[in-house]
Formats: sequence, C-alpha cells, structure tokens
Amino acid sequence: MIWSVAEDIAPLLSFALAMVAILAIPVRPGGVFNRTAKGFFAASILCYLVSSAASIMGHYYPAFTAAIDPAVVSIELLWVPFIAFGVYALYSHQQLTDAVSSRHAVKTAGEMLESVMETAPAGIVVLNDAGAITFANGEARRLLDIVDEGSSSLMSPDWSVRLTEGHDHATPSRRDFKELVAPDARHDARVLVSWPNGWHRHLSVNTAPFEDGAGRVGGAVAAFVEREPSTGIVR
Amino acid sequence: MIVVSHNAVSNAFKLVAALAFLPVMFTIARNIRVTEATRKAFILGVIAIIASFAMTAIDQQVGVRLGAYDLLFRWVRHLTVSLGGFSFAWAAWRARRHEVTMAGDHR
Repeated sequence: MIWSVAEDIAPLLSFALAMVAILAIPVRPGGVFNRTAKGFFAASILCYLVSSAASIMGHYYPAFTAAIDPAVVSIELLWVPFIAFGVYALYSHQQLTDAVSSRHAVKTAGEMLESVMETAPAGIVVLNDAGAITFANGEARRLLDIVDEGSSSLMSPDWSVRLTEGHDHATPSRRDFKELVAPDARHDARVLVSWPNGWHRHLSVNTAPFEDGAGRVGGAVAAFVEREPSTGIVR
Repeated sequence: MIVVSHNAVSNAFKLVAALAFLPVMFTIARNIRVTEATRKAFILGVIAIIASFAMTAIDQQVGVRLGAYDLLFRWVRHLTVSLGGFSFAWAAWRARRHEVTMAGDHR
C-alpha cells in the first residue's frame, strides 16, 4: 500500500492549510470578513477535505470507499454553492460596512458643519434656486430678524431685499434673495434689507453657488455681515 | 457504448453548476475589497477546481480508453485540485495578514 503524493498527500495538505488559514482570518468590526463569509468558505474547503480523506481511505477500505463514492461526489458538488455564497456574503458584508461608515461620516460632517455655522460670526444662509432661505444660522436669524417657528417661517419673510452696489441704479425690491443666486460667486455685494416699519440693514454679502443634480444652479450659500449700524432711515 | 452512471451525471452536473456560477463569482470577486494577491489566488483556485471538475467528467467517460495515460491523467487531475487548495490557502493567508495589519495587530 503506497500513498501517492499527487493523489493523496498534496490535496489533503493543501486543503488542510486552506482550512487553517481561513479559520485564522480575524473577524473585527469594520473589517473585510464576517462570520457568515468565513463559514461558507470553511464549508467549501471542508468539502474537499472530506473528499481527500475519502480518497486516502480508499487505500485501506476500497469497498467502503466505493460505496460512499456517490456521496463524495455530491459533497464535492456542494463546493459550488458554498464558495459562491461565501463570495456573495463577503461582498454583502463589505457593502453594508461601507454604507454604515458612509452614514457615520455624513453624520460627523453634518455635526461639524452645524458647529461651524452656529459659531461663525457671520450670518450664513442657504438659498434655493428661487432665492428663498432654506437654512439660516443664529447670526443670520438675528440680522434678518427671523423667528424660528418652523421651516415655513423662513420662506415668508416680511422684509424686502435690494442690491445696492454693482448696478447703475438700485434693483427693484424683492421678498427673496433671488438676485444672489447666480452662476458666478459674488464677493462683497451690497444688500439693503428693509422692514415694513422702516427699519433696514446694510449687509455685505459673499455668495457661492452650488449645482443641482442636472448641472444647473440649484441655489447658493450666502454669508453676510452688517456694514454699518442699523438706522430707521432708508437712504 | 458509453454507460452513463450516477457518478457521471453528478460529475457533469457539478461542472455545469460551477460554470453557471462562474460569471457571478468572477464579477463579485473583482469587486470585493481585498488585496490583489488574495483576489488573484482566489480566482486561480476557483479556476483550478473547475478545471478538475472538467477533468473528472472527461476521465469518467474516456478514462478506460486512455490506457497507460489514465494514471498520468488522474495525477494531473489531483495536482490540479491541489493547486486549487494551495491557492485558496494562499488567498486566505494573505487576507488574514491584511486583516491583522489593518487591525493594527502585528503579532
């Protein structure tokens, strides 16, 4: 009875090594592998470990091995779904890990941006393509006298807005910041905001437009500071 | 006359099933986030095992007619299976090494 290196030892050794290596892969939070993928890979290797062991047993118990040969063939057949499920489980786990880490990154960035907005000494607003305010930080709420009663209050201000510089004559008053929503960024634009009771504020505004999904101007971020103390007289 | 045994059908089915899964496995294997060494070793292992499936199916049908070459054919088949096994072992080992490195554990 001679063991064949090619037929018996090499397959058994190779799959035993593969099994050890797979079982040694660490599973860690945020890692590439999870237990399900590892389990399927280990099962696929186990199929061939059983097959190799059955081949060796054939030297000692030929009749028994011949009897279980159909079962061994079926076990080898299981390699196909096991390896496919293993790869798919690995891919699904990576997709899920990516989604979770992306959500965490977005949340962290959002919190940081919110901190920047609230601590900035300038008033910062986000304007939609119609020039309506969709977000205003604390300083912007103070300068524009926005009362926070829900997002709808941002859309219906009682003041009017007028660009006062960079034009031959002042532009008509508007009830939004549409004039600031343009393809090009503005720097130190002068804006006059007036209230019905006669109060007004002169603001210096910087704007940066942003695109919507179709490549058009989807709105702008505007940061403004007050140029001079407020007066009750509109000049 | 070719006698179609249960094993012959099983072996043929095994090969067909593996070939059917092959495009899906390769597509996913190309997209999973592992090192290139792991990816290539894994793909080599899959190819080797499927090649052994094909050789088994062929051997089932024409092995008797190979005469003296039958033993050589069987050796090549088993070596192909071994190549698959060693490839999987290498892929898993490289994947393990990468995971350990990423975890900052260099033991």
